[in-house]
This record gives sequence, structure tokens and C-alpha cells, in this order.
Amino acid sequence: MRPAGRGETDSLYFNYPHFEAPDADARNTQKEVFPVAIVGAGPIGMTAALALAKEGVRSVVFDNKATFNDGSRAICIAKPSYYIMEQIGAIAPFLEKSLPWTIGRSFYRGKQILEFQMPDGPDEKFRPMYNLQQQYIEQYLWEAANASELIELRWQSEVSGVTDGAKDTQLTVKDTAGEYTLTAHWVLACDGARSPIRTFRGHRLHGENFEGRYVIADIQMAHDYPTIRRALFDPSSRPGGTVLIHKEPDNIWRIDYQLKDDESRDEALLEENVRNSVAAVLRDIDYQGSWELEWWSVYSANTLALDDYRDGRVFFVGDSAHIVPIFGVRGLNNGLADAANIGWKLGWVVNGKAGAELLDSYTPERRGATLDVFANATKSARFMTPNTHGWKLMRDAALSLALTHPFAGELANPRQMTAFTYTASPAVLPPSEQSSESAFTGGPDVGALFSEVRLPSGFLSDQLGQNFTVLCFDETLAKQIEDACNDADYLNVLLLPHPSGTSEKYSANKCSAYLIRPDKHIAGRWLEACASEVVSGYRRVTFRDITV
Amino acid sequence: MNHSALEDVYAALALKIDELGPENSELFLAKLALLLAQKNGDVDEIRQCINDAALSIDGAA
Repeated sequence: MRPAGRGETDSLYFNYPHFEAPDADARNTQKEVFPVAIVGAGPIGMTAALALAKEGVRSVVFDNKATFNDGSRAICIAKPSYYIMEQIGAIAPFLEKSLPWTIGRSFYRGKQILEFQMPDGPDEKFRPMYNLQQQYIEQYLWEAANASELIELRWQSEVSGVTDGAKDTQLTVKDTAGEYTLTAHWVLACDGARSPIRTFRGHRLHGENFEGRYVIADIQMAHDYPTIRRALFDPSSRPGGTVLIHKEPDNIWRIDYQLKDDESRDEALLEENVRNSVAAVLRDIDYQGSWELEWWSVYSANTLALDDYRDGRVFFVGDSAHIVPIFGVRGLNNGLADAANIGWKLGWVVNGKAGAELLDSYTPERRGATLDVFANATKSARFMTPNTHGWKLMRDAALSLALTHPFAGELANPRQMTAFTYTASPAVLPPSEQSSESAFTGGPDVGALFSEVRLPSGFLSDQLGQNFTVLCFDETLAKQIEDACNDADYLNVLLLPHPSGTSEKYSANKCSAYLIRPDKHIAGRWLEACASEVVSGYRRVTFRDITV
Repeated sequence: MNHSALEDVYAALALKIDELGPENSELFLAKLALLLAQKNGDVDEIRQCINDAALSIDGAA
């Protein structure tokens, strides 16, 4: 919502573009069958389209709006998401505009009780977290998608039906010129929390509706404070409540506060009440200058997910598959990871680089990640906004104790956002296929996101292409693996010195090998590798189970 | 005590307080304090904890 007199996309600092519907004559004469149709041109749909384009796969993207989503919405982008932006070729404007941060501070009744530092260091290419308004995220992804010849964007186009045939799907689409059908082999439903596709395919989200409701408000002010996330517990502005404050680019500040049980949602959303609440928070942080209200919204802390993210030729991606509480900044980041995951897998299957069974790993991997988010978010929510006597009493005890005993302040440390480890997935190797895996004493686990290392020039991630990579440290082994591959294997061998920073971080012997997927998760590892085991492992996780 | 052990204790206490109900939480926590004091056995340390726990409470001296 925006202040009275301003339209939905009438922003203090951002010019929303206007996108025309497709030219009716052009789309009528076009009878192309698209490999993939994507419904929703938000950050998730755009990321999926770009991930497919990276694999050379063409897609058409539909959105019923004529511009980006209104308002700043999701603002925290975590490090794993920056690897995704880099992989799909969109990272440059993100790095230029966003505000990196590593520190959070928590206050109880105006006194600081905790300063936490998220893990970072010279080996890391990206910072743990970046703040950037969602409309910039959408703009930068749109710029990349618009520049791609493999992505066709159709705005003001509402998808009103998806029917499966034997080998493809028929989409019914309505735009300003009328209704038409389009054929695609696969459909990605990136159509958000209220997903129409989910509804007309007859699926429901399952889980818990928490009672907590929160207002998020963005204001513009010349406030001199570094990019540090602040959490105010029991502040004068909201006795008994919690307030979060984030800095965004363009002198925009995000203020996030919980509503009390007896506060009505409609009342809280009135402009005058938002202004009063914001003014009270600004008194808490001692800001006396002028400020302008930009945008506000309300949300609830729900943990809801589909039982299966796949329905035939339709995959649910992002909020259409799951709704998570914002604590832990997993809504957008989790959705981007979904999009990258289905993007490379579908790309590899459409290209014939992998067997169709690879697609069955999407639900266990990404739904597993969602359930992990739920567990963490529930833990955070219990601290940020305890909803029973017991949790509230313990939370207050921890905060009160934290004023004099720092150990108790650590209970307020959100420890947010690390990439999920895909342990129970058919697209990583089971222990039986990695004879010496259990002998590792460190390094990233099977299913985990790779560990970044600074190399003499650049970073390890710069050396990982869009295919599978075998990381190894012995020239003979590298040669044997290359020799064991044939033309149908998209497996690059990366030979690094031993000993080196990389071998140390990966706890690798000279004869060790790591098999790394295109999404930089570890598919398998061998402390004592033999070439045939590595290559057959690669073929197994790409479902081309051919004996070496 | 490491962080995850501390979080486990925190959660166990919250759940037990909710199980007993708000009207019993004071009695429960007082009993718990006596049990932990008995296990600790160091009177000076216990007195120090009593004083520390009283800090930062509204209305306290």
C-alpha cells in the first residue's frame, strides 16, 4: 500500500516500466511448441527462464501484470542466491546496487544485548547477506531475460488453464486481444503464494497457520547508520513486541513490527496508524530528521507447503509450492534455489544430457529444504514473537539475563540462511557408491553446497562451469577420468595442486575427488578415488546408468 | 554448555512451563532452582546466581 494520493506503483525512488501485451498478429501466426512455459515473471519465473537459457533451452514467460510487483517486499538476498545470480549471468547490477552486511545487533528495552557477525572471510567471494528491494531484483532479472534470445516474455497474459496431453501440455492464455492456446512440453508454475495454477490443478498447501501478523513499512530518510540489521525487543514504541530495522539502497529503511493479538489488521494498515507506529520506532532509534513514507504491507507467519512439487508435466516453484515466515529470510532465497534447481535439471533433461528420472529429485531436494526452513523459522518465531506463556517467559528471561550475561544474548542470534544439504536425494550418490566417503575428516558433505576457496587468481567457483565438475588433485587420476568419459558425458575435470588451500578445505588426499553438480552441490566424493567409480557415479546421478 | 545444548534447555523449559500452565510456573521454577542448587552444592556460587538473576528486573533495587 502507498500513501493517499499515490498510485500502486508511484514510488519515491523507482520508475516502474509499462509492458505492452504481445502483438496479437505475431502471436497468432506463431505456432511454435515451446520446450518450457513459465507462468509468472517475478524473480522466481525469471530466474528459472535464465537457468534454462543457460542450457540453451527456450521458454515463454507469462505474467498477468503490465509491470513488476509493487513495493519492495523481499529485501534480503543471501550468499547462495548470489551464486545463482552469477550462474545465470545476472550478478553485475546486483553487486553494484545492493548493500552487503555481516552484522546484526539486538536490543532489549533500548540496551544492546548482542552483536552477531555472520560467517565471512577472505576465502569468500560474496558477503553473507545483501539488502536490495524486490523491484530492483525483478528489474535486473528482467534486463537479463529481455537480452536473451531464448526467452519470450508475454505481459498482460493470464494463463487460465493447463491441460496435460501424452507428450505435452496445452495452456489457455488470455491477453488484451483475446484467448488462445499454446503448447509446451513442460510448465513451471512460478505464479506466487495464491497460485491460480495450483488451484485449478486441485492442489492445496498443507501445514500451520501461525497467528502472528506483521506490518512491513518502507520509509525514506537520511539516517546515518551502517548496514546492520537491528532487532528491538520490548522497545518503548511497541511494549512487549519486536521491531526489525534494515537499511536498503536509495536511503530506504525497512521497519517491520508485529501486531498485538487485539490489533485489527485493517486498523493497523491505515496510513495514519502506520505513520504513528513508524514515528514511535524512529524515537526509539533517536532519529529526529524528516522522513517520507514509501510503501507498506502486512503478512502472516505461515508454514505451508505442497506434498509434491510436481504434478505430471507441471512443476511448482517458489511461493506457489511453499509459504514460509520471513524470519530467516527464506521466502525469496528458497524460491530462487527452487528455480535454479528445476532450471538446470529440466535443461539437462530437455537437452538429453540427463535421463528424465533426474526430475524426480526436484521434490525431495526442494521440499526437504522447505521443511528445514519451517523448523528454523519456527525456532526463530518462538524467540521473536513467542505465542504461549512458556515461550514468552523463557524469552523474557533470556533477554533480561542478556543485559548482564552475554551467553543469554546468543539465544537471540538468528543464525540464518545456509544452503540446505540434499542428503536424501536420488541426484546425489548413496554411501554404497562412494567406497571411501566415510573416511573424510572434513570438507563439504555429500549433498551440501560446495565450499568457496580463494585461488592464486580468482575463486574456485570461477573454475566450475555449467556442467558437472570433478575436483581432483592428481594428474594421473585427472587423465584417467577424462579418458573414461565419452562424448555424451558433460563432465569437466578440474585439476588443482596438492597440497593447496583447496585440498586443505576439502580435507583431500592427493588421490581424492569431489563430484560437483551444476548447482555447485556435492554429488559424491571419494577419499581414494578411482576413475571408473567417479564416472559411473556421474552417470548414475544424471540417470544415464551406463557401465564404464 | 554449547549453543545447541543451551537452545535444547531453553526449549525444554518453555515446553514444560506450557505443559504445567501459567498458574504453576512459579512453583515449578522455584523447585527447579532448588534442585539445581542441590546439584551445584556451592553456596557462594548459588548466592551469586540469585543476585545475578535479580538484575534488570523492573522494580528491583
